[in-house]
This record gives sequence, structure tokens and C-alpha cells, in this order.
Amino acid sequence: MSDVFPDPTPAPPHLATEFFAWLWYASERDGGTFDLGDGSVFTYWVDDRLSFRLPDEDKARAVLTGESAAASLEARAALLGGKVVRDLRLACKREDREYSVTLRGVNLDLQGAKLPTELKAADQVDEVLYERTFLLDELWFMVGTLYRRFATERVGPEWASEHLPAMRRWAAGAD
Amino acid sequence: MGILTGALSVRRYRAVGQVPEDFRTAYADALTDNAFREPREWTPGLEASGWCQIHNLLDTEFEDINRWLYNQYLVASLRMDKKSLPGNLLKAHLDKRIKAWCEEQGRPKCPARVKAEIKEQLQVELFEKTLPRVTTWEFCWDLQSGHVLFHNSAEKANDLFRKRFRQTFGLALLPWSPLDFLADDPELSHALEITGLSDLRAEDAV
Repeated sequence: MSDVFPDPTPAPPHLATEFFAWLWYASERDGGTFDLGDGSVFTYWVDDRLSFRLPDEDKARAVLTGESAAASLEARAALLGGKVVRDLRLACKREDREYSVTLRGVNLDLQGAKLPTELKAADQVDEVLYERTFLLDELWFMVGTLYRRFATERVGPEWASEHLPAMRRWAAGAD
Repeated sequence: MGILTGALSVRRYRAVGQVPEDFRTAYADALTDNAFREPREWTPGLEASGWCQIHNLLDTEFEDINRWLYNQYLVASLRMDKKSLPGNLLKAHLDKRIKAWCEEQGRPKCPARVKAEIKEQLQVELFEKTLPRVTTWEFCWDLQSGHVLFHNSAEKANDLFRKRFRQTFGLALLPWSPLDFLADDPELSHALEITGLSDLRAEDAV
């Protein structure tokens, strides 16, 4: 496509896998609660799917599904074995609206996003569209908020001295 | 599953450029001009593509803006048809035809050139009897924000979508990047972009 559309430089691929691993870690470290600073919070957790790949491949080498996928020994073992998180299913809840979505790939493509819709497709198209885009924006806002937190920690001075060692201990099951 | 119902699987883009003031009529014409049309003749490998309405893939007219424009949202589907012949059936028919040609000509073998002609003719005949495999992918364009959601994340489908979009609306689609989450903080975005890989294995294993 580059001959037709001069794409902007994409984000380095490792950022997506690091973000996924960080999401998993932070959801357990922080009890899955994110304080938005305006008196409101949302909660987030790794849902029922995690897949891993080798750093230089795209193909999934291990896929873990089920309610306790993130808590399984196999999941941590994959990280300790040098695999990276290829995709994960993230669940978020803000007020009474609960979402789940699989994040995948360098650009965080949304796969199988389940939105807490109330309207049905048979209702007015414009109302259905409005509701679904509003909910998708809210989901995107939460993912973006988490990404900003990840970015801030990742480039901060404590990354190498505190966060990364803590993540390693967590991956090893020491925490 | 798609834009209006079920789970969403989307890749995000940003349309770059100005939406014209007369976009209602301009885009109705553009969509119609680039709508899906059945090819006159199918050839091996041909993929026919174009726009159709999200309501029914057989609806390929866009004069009625109420069928594709909802407030600031432009929604339509990209339809792609492809015909393919079952390889074993084609081979079986081809063998029969070649055998018949040899008997008719009183020759033990059929030359490669004749074989190719017979195969081509056979493909045309079988294509006429075959229904295409029809795929549609919806998209939703927020004309105010410029954001575009395309309901597929496969590279091939996205390449086709971006080309068709450009041909139709004259606007380029730039893929959304996670760094866009940090667009209001270029320093943070840049600092993140240049970070190296972190290895989560225990330090003594790294």
C-alpha cells in the first residue's frame, strides 16, 4: 500500500506485546481498578483468552482459554520461556457497562468486541449506530487510558529499577 | 455480525482530507460509480468488488442517502465476489474432453496448446454454472471526526478497502496507531517509540 498511501511510521511491534503483558500484570497489581481522577473508576481484567508467540514469529505457539486463563501456571510459564503475548481478551467495566474485546496486533485491532448494547439491529438504524459508536468510543477510551498509563511507566525512570523487576518477579510467581 | 449487530471486529483508520460541502450528492454519485457490478465474464482468478448497501448485498444503488447516511455516519459494505472451480471436477472433465479429442483426431496424445484451449473453454463453461463466493465487509465513517472503522482485520481485505475508498472518495486512509493515544503528548509518544524490547524472563535467564 505504501506506493499509494504514505503510511505514517507504525508503532514498533514490541510495544503491543509489552502492552499486553503489562495489562495482564497491572490488572493483578492494581486489583483491576483504574482511578480516572474525576471521582470515577473503571475496572479491567484479562478475560478468558491469552495467546503467546515467539518474539520473531506471528503464529500463536500457545493459546490458553477459559475462566482462569490468566491465572494458570502455563500462562506464566510461557512468559518465562521467552514467549510474548500475541493477543489477549480484555474485559472492562465502567458503571454498569461491561465490555470484552480481544486486542491483537501492532495496531491493537479489536476482535470480537462485545458491547453492552440495549438496542437491537431491528431498531432505528441511526439510533443503533449512535449507541454502538458511543459504546465503542467508551471502550476505546478505556484502552487508551490504560495505554497511556503503560507508556508513562514504560518510559519513566522507574521502569528499569522497579517496574520491570517487579514484572519479572510476578512472571516467576514470586509475588 | 457487523457494524449494526453482534460482536465487532474492526481495524481503525483516519480519513485524511476535506469532505466536500456537497458530500451528499457527491458521495451518492461516487458510491454508485464504484458500486459492485457483476462482471460480464468470469475468468480464473478474477475478484469482482465494489460497494453495496449494508442492508442487503444486492442493493448497489446509492441515490437514496437515507440508506447509507445516518447523521454523521456514512455506512456501506465492500462486496467481493470470486468464483473458483473444484480442482478435481475440472480435472475430471478435462480428462474426458482430452480423451474425446484424441479419439476424434485419431491421435495418441493431445498437444499442450490444444490442451490449454480445451481447459480454457471448459473453465468458461463451468464458470457459467458456478455461483460466486460472496463476501461483504462493512465500514462506518464518522464524517465529523474522520474516523473510519472497517469490519475486518485481514491484510488483503484492508488493502482492497483502502484502495476502493481512495478511488471512491478521493481521500487516503491512514491506519490508526496506538501512538495516536498519545497524540497530545508528543514527548511521551516519541520516548515510547524509541524504547527497546523488555525481556520478562528472570535476569539470570536473559
